[in-house]
Amino acid sequence: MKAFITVLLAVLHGGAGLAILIVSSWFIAACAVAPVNFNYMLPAVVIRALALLRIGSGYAHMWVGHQHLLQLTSVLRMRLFDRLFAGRIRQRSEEVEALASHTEAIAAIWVGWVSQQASAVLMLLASAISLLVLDIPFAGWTVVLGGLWLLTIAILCWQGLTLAKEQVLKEREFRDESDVALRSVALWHLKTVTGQFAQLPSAQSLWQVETRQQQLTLQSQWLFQGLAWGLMLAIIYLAIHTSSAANAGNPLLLVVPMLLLSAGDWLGRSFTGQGALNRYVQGQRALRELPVESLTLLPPLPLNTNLTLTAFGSSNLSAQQVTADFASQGVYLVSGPSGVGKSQLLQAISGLVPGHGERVCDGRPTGPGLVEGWLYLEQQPIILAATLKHNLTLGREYTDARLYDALAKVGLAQLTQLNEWLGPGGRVLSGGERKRLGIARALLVDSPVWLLDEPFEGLDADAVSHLVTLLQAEAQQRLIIIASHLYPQALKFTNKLVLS
Amino acid sequence: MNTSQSLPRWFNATVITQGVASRSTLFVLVALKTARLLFLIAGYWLFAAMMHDWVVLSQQPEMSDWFGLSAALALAWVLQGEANRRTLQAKSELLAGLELRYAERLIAEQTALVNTHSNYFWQAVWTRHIPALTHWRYDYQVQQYVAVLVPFFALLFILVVNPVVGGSLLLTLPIIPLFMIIVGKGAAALQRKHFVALTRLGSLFVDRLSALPLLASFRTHKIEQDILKSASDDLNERTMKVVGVAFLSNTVLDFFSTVAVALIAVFIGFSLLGEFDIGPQLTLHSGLWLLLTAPLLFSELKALGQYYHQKAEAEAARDATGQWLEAVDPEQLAEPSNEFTEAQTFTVNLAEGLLTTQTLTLCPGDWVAVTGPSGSGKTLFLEALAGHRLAEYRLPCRVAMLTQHPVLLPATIRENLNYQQSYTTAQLEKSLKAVALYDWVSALPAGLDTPLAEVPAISGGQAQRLALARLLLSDAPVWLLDEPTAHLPEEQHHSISALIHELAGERTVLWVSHKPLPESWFNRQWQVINREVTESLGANAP
Repeated sequence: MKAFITVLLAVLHGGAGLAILIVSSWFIAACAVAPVNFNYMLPAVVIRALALLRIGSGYAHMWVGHQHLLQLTSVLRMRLFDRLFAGRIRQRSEEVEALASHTEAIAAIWVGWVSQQASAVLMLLASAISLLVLDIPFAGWTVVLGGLWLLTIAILCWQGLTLAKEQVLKEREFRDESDVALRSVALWHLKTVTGQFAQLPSAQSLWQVETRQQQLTLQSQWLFQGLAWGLMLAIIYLAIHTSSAANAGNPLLLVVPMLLLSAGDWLGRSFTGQGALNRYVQGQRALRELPVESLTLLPPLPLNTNLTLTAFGSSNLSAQQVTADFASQGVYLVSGPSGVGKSQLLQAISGLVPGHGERVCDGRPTGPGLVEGWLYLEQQPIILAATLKHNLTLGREYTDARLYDALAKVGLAQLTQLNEWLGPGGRVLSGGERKRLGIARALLVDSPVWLLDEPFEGLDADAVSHLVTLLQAEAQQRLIIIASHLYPQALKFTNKLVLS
Repeated sequence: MNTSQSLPRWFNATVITQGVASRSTLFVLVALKTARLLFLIAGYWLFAAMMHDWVVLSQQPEMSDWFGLSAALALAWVLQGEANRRTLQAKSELLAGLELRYAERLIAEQTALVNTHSNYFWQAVWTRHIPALTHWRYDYQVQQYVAVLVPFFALLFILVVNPVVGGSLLLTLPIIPLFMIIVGKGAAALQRKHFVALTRLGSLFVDRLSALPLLASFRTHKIEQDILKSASDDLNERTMKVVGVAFLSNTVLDFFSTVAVALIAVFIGFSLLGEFDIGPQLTLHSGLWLLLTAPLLFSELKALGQYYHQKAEAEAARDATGQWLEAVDPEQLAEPSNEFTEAQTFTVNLAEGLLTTQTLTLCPGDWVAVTGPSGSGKTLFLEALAGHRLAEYRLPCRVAMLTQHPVLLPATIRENLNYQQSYTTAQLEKSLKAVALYDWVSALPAGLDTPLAEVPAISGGQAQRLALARLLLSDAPVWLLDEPTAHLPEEQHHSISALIHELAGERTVLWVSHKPLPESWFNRQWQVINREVTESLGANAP
């Protein structure tokens, strides 16, 4: 509904502008040849009314259009978020970030493209019909103008979308090429300086497509301008060379030449919306082709006696074959050099990444899926852009006393402002603080299994010994599996699993 | 990075040097676009004359006027086409110029620059920031001049033709920027008022999208969804408050341009009827011309408004690139020599006290142990010696560096070794034998031509050996080793260190290490503490 009001207001705005010009020019022509009883007050009032209509609808179009844009963006985002329930996006983080602009681009189609095209079409239709009905001299020429506009805009859209596709391909090529070059920056110096320039990525071919896109818009606008002026000159030429003396002296003669003379102005906006259309199509494609991997959610499994893995491993590492047995309490270590797949194993145990082999809890196979309460605590826990309190509770209800207690237990007693904002525009936590906040979250939900990924890395000696004491105490009530390539001497563990 | 510097000033100081983005290109574009509008004004005059003949005098328009109008419009049209062509050409040239600047900067500073941000950031300089600067330069800035020049000429002509209309336009014109400034200030104040909320709420959606695994683990997806919903409602409400005022700025312009046209039309009409009798005698000719020309006082300013986002994007580009787009000192890009023959005595001082050194001496064939706590500036020191940081001294020859994390390209083993130039298979095999990888490579399905992606999980030690083989192939006389064994287990640290010691041969070596190395290998000890490098005499000091 709002979308249509937006478009309607745009049409009113454009139409009123055009009407002012046409009515004004007719009005002064009529005044110049005014018969005695010419009622000049009415057109003067109409002109002023049109002016007010144009100003008002212009502001209202921007306001309503923008509000609609924001609301639609919000709806699209909510729908996307809903679709991502228990899912994860298999894409690089910047492509995930781009989803924000994609949803906005989809919503912006109404203010960015539809409004302009609708006003152009309706203005053309309205002027052609009203001029024909009123039998104004040369009215048929507006139909020709409409046809030319349609042709130009159709070519523009078609070519523009083709170019947009090419642009996406070029951009992907550029990203792949530049990724390799930038990742190998530590090697550049081995080459000669000339060799280094040669191996740097270049965005020239991407920019060429962008330039052609701009060229297309500019040229179609320019071409249309020329055609409209050509039509206007043709009308006057005809007027000079055919004796249509019957019409001479009629102020309405002015109308069609004026329309054609200013066609580039009142139809110009319809050409500049091409970028918005391209972004809309790209946004739609990105959302449609979003690689979402959905996780199976399993209900809580309390783990009473033991967890057994048989030839188990992450599906991402086919060679990983781990067979091990864990009691329901105690600390277990998974060690091995970096890159051997320790994190992958922990994530597979929790079910965050799919696994192969068998995962048996208290004698019963769990089946594939993410078990509620089997928490994988990553190396760098995700800190939400939210208050400290929300970061701890994740939206559940706890008393402040419990939150302070959890903070103290993990050694974050220095964070005392539960309402302090964390993340962008707020306090930025250090790597060590983030790790401990992650453990505090786990403490609060009281889960049976903790899977900790490199919990000691980046902590100073005091924090490490504090954490060891805490883990040792918590392991009385739960299974704690720690993946680490460096672990403190003080840590007492039930068993150690070495991956190689 | 000085963000308070205005965009044009920054652009003039940083970009416009050595023929990049010359001012003449800009002024030619301004001249073309202004001239086009002057021809259009002339065309309007002839158009109005013909309409006068046709309607008022009831006679056919004159053919000479028709030719004149055709010529004026054709010229305006050709000038527009030429301006379009030149704009695109100027943008392409500026893109190429900026890309070269950027490439020079990257090559001059290498890891010292690239490692300060993510790859995505650097890619955005190519895909977003450089194009944003070209658009701003050749659309926005050109339009800025046009939006001043065209109203000036239009007003001048209007004053000549009809001082009454011109005079009243002259009186109202200054009010427009005044109102726009007031509105702009109001919008900025609102923006500041909601700034914290707008930034926080604005980033929430992406933030939660990147936190999906966390939300799944803790089963809080639905809770977060509700939060997102109310946050976005709140955000929309606040945004509307800000933009509701900001849009007034557009409306001010719309108001004046529309009202001006409407009032001029009414004034002309009434004058023609004889109701008013102020100023020179009006005809349909001059009246219609005034009606057509008056909107030019506002239309170019409106067009500038459509380019407004380009300014914001160019400002983002300025903030991201800062001083890097300045021309690079050609000395930093000179090809270093392959010889290191003379003893060097030098100091290195980096700007802003990042690093200072005692007077240090380095002779060809020296082995220098560089020690110091982490974060003390050891890597900075090596980068400066390699010439990647601007300092008063850099080593006078080619260097080869080895870092903690060996870089392997997603290519075959042969291509990885051939990084700097192509070597014969015999040379490659010799270097692989030297690092004890020959047997491993021979056992691979396609030997040297096996893509690394297909090699079953290469270990950290093997990767570092491969990197060492690449180093051996380089003809650099100096090796800078930045903790090459930091991430390796103890036994591999010993074997790889011994291998490096054996293979380095006559080369000069600077070795940063946290792990113990035999003191007997080194004849110099340099210590980096708190960003200061001092020489401490080692056991084998000369």
